[in-house]
Amino acid sequence: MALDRSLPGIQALQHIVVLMMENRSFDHMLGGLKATHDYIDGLTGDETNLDTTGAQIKVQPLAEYQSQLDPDPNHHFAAVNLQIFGDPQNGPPLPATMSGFVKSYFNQQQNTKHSADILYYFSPDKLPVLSTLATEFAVFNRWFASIPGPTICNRAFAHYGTSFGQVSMDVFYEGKKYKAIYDRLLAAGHTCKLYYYDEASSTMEVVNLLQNEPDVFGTFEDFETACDKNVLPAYCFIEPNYTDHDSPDGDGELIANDQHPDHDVRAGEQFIAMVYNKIRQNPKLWANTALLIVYDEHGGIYDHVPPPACLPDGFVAQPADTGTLDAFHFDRLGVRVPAILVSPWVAKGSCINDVFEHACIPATVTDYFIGEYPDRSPREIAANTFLGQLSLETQRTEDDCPSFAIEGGS
Amino acid sequence: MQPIFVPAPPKSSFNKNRAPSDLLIGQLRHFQHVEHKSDIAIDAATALDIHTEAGAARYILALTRAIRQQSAKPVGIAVVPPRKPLDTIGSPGVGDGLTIAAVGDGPGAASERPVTKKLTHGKKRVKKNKRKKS
Repeated sequence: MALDRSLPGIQALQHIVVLMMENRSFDHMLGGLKATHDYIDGLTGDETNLDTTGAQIKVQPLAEYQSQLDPDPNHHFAAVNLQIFGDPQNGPPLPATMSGFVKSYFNQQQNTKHSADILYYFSPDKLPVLSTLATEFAVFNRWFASIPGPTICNRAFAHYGTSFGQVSMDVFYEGKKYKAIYDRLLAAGHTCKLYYYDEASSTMEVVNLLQNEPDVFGTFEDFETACDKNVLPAYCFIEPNYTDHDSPDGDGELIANDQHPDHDVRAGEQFIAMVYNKIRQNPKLWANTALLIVYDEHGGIYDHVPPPACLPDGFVAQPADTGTLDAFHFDRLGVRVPAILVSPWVAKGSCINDVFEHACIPATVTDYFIGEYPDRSPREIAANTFLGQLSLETQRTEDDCPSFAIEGGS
Repeated sequence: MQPIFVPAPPKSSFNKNRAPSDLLIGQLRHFQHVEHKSDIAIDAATALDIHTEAGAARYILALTRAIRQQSAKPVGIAVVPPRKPLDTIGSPGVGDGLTIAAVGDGPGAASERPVTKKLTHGKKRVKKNKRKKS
């Protein structure tokens, strides 16, 4: 549906900011909210998987911030097949029962007890930032990873609207058929930046963007400065810190805040709050910025919603690449991930039930800033856009929007 | 509305000696690909010491800075042949030993001698550190 540009929130909108976190499923992070907010498609507490002994294991609100998902749960294509369809080698027409998560995690250590941890989810009080934003603004009930696979191919959908046939972490290629959203925006005279946390964490878009479009990049400190000086680009994509490392400027040590297992989830909560506060505390930005917080993929962690079919992408990954018996036609989505849209023009307690995936990001940004742009992947052209949620007639007041007090930070 | 308190992780959460995850290994492979296809020379010790998050971060820092400094002269990239998936169901650990090719002949010198290093998953002792911020 075409965006209603007469909406006050749309007329005010000047900036779209996307923060993409790492490797957590919707139910793992937000599933516990269903108990108090029944419009959120989370967990009833009765969802189960069979373990390798045949015992029924229930989901439980016992997720811990760190040390529980070590080793990192497998989330490569074949493992995700097992998680969704109960069979690592075959996908559709098998039904998507979401019944193989415990068995998949068992395969990594042959530890039956530990394999049940993959069903654990956070009680909302343990995630004050994500839980608050999900209930105070708009939560997506149906935002899925673009591919049932790992990080880099999924993140590619956020930049290009496709992964060019990749289902793994492999390097992409030159001569791409479709331009990145950054190239499109710059050619149309708009500003944009991809902010990585710092030069030691850098970006996952090393080959295709960092090397060829280095001017598009900045650090998180640059993002903060741009916010303070009211020179934020029209479109910003933020990457978290992927490693525990010494600060490049020699001033202390920096903890990973991407929430990728086995990094501490609290550091990511603080990072999300930092991004939110930076926009929220500047009245010149708050009224005219839409912030999307989304995760790249589920990281092998349980979710109860079967991923739907989608428009084929025009590419094919061969069995040698998927690690299964079947070629993959990019005709179904990955596992559901948390996604939240934040703006003072979004009604409190909003819920979006349409299907979204990462190609919706360049689709939305292109639609809003550029308009007609036919040379995009079929997936992106068909993708839903999300700015229609900025639908309030009047902006929410200061008192009506949350703010965060970050321990030890700004 | 009162500000909502967001607790910091404890200092014990920080572990820069943690072995690289699959994600970080994938990122390292991308950087090494760029390094090999360009005339960027990275100190050999930095290129080899990538078995921990801190070591990987030092290498990534060096490459990121070099790439951005070379921004005026983009370099062509070739296709990397697909590799076997890191993780295969029923065979945990397949691909865990990822061969990483790095190049370096000392600071500032042009690279001629490839140095091959193998990244493996493994437990490292947790070292407590002070943190600057998250």
